[in-house]
Amino acid sequence: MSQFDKLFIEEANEQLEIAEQALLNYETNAAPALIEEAFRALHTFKGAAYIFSLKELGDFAHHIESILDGVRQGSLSSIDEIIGKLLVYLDHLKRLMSDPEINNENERLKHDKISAEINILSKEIANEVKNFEQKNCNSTIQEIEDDCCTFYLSIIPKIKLSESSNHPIFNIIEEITELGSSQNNPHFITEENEEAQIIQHWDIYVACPQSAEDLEDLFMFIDSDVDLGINKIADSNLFEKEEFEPFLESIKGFSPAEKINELNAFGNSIQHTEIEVTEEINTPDPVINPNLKSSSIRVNTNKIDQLMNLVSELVTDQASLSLFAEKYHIPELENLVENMDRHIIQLRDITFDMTLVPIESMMGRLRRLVRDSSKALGKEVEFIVDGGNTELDKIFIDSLTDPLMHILRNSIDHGIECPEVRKEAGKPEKGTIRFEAYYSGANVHIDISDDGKGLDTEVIWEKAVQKGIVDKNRNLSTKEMMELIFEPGFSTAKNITDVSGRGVGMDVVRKNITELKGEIELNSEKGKGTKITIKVPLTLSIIDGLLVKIAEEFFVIPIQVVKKCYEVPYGKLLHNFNDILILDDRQIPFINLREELALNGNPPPEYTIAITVLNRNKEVAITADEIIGEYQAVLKPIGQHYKDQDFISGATILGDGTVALVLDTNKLVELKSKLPLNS
Amino acid sequence: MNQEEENSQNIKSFLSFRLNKEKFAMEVEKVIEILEVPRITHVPKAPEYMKGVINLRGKVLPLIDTCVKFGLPAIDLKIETCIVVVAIQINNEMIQFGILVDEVLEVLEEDEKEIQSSPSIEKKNSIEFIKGILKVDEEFLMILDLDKAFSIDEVHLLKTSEEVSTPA
Repeated sequence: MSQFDKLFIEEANEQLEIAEQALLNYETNAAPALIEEAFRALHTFKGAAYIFSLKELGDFAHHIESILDGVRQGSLSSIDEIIGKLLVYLDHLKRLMSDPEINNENERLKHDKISAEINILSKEIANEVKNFEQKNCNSTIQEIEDDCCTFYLSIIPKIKLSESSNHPIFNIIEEITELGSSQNNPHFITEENEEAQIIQHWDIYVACPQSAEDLEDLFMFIDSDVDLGINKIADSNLFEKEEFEPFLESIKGFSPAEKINELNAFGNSIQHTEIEVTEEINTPDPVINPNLKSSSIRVNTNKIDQLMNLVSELVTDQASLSLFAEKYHIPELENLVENMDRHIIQLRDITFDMTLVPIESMMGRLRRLVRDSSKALGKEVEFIVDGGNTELDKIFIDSLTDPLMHILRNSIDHGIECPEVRKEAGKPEKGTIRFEAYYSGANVHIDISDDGKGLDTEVIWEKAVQKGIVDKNRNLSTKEMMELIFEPGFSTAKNITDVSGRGVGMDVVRKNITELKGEIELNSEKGKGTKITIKVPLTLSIIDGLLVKIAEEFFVIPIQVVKKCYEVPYGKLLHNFNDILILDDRQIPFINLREELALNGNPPPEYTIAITVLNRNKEVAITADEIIGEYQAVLKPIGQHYKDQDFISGATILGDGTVALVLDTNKLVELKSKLPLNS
Repeated sequence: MNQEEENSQNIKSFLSFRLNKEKFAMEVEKVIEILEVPRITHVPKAPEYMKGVINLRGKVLPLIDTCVKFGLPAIDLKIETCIVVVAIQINNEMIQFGILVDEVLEVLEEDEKEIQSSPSIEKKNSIEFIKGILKVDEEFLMILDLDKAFSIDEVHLLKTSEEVSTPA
């Protein structure tokens, strides 16, 4: 009984997510298409639940569907309230996904209560719909029929099936035949050629608003048991045509392939004669190839990780091979290596691309959060998302969600003021939170800005001094003061509300983001608003770097921070009391890596290379003996044993097998320059 | 031979090795492989016993100088110097690293009962890391407790703890 396929849970969660998104969007933009979307998602969910004998889940989804149906007809008065309720119901279903059979007693109680409630609501709505329908019966029917398509489904079971076998396919077929009828279209024909109780073949004709893919989805859990052919015959409801049913009768004895031909001919003739106007706009593929599967597939993330690892290895191997080819000068080999090099780069790019996920995929939770917490606090907030299709490594998506949620919560709770206060301050009553994601070089930036009250540096300062985070005699710039909110143990909220201040502070947010090799930046103006910018690299696995050598050791500096390289006599670095170099007529502080990292493998060269790097808009020069060249570094962790050496972000293996360390110049500068705040 | 002795129960295999002049042993299950010493990349600013990292077939492996760790003079790289790659569980995660030893000796099979607890008088070095003493042909081998000796928290512990207690 309880063999819940992981696939089911995954699929179900996805459908619930789609439904939730659609409803949230519907709140801001009441487009019927969104309700359709939610309806379809729930329908798929319902089908899947029934297949796995999760009747209660299925029934519950069915009620939600009926309510959605009411919303779709546009006949209900208090839409907002109903959407709110629906979201609660969806949450309930989501929660049940971890206990689909509802074995937990508390869940059971909750479920019973909520079921009773939804039952009543769906009945009320059904009544309301009925009344409404009677009033403008004609118009609604017309609307629905407009987007009906007629399908021919040919289903050949691969296993022996008899009517009494209780196989899920019977439920599915029943469901499909109901698709039409639920749209006031009970003209379906199901043929079942039975031979000794064993079903050989189903021919199903159905007119419904679903797409071929939706129909196919219904079979997703049993697609290994049947050969399925779904053919769209026409973009209209052929059952409305008088000649359709006699026509079906006439082709009864044909083979499936012949039937498809005949049906298409029939469908086309109807279309040509009747709806010539629509032809140009959406000419459908006359035959949807029965072998055509949807264009994307589900892949376990572990497999992608493995693939990415292998590709990384391949990049390293390629570097060794290039080195080898260079050494021996065999023209054939060199050609081969060059070709391989090109292919590996392509392969790398494609694989890399596969690990990227659009930011939009986490927006669902964020939108919901904004909606719920602004309602809970009685604030009006408009949440504007820009650049949702910006793609990030999937690891980031997972680990960024929590920090982002925290920032948004803070914005709503501490940033955006109550409507009355806003009105007094001459701002629109509705606050705005803007979420923008965009590419910037090898980084992705995420800006979250609000037009709330901004940060009050005085309050922050007082608080920080009081909590002993900062010494009261220190002189800090405004920016530094604001950044005090990232210090551990800091929280300006006077009283802990339900929305923010759940024990996670901004220090955790910063820690999470630094762990991703990212940065967080804060800009705020009192009374005008706050803007938080998060910068994270596109990927953690492969970076372009500058390979340098210092005293027999190799180091990689990420190329994105490198600005310019200079040649400087080594003597200039010595006896330099304030560690400043004059480069291009500017004073630039420098870090002598030889000294800093205690590298004394060989005597320093006469001339050293000063590489200027940009860190948080501050330019710093770091020195190296020699620049070897550009290098594509496959980043590997150096292990927890070196967790205290955080100025090294990882290691990479060079073509000849030596390990080079990758420097995190930000951390390096921090290490050198950071004064403890309370000293 | 193995089968004959199975009745006399709890035969365990140990890998013995030399650090400086002392002989040690560790449970063979923890050992993944034994390597010659390749080129070592030094990691700046790390504690002295963290020798650096090496390239183990494309993986980056941290390397620990066991001698420095146990308060002996640092290992001089000679022809018989070896790296024993071991894996221990730290915070629910299997972590692999290499330990540098002066010489790998042999694999011994001994009854677990033969292990004696280490004498508590000797408080000189980190006895906490010694699981027990094994007597083989009039020689004493110290059995290392890898989990204790190389746990990551221990990195900080080593700096602070002066008094070393002896577990039973």
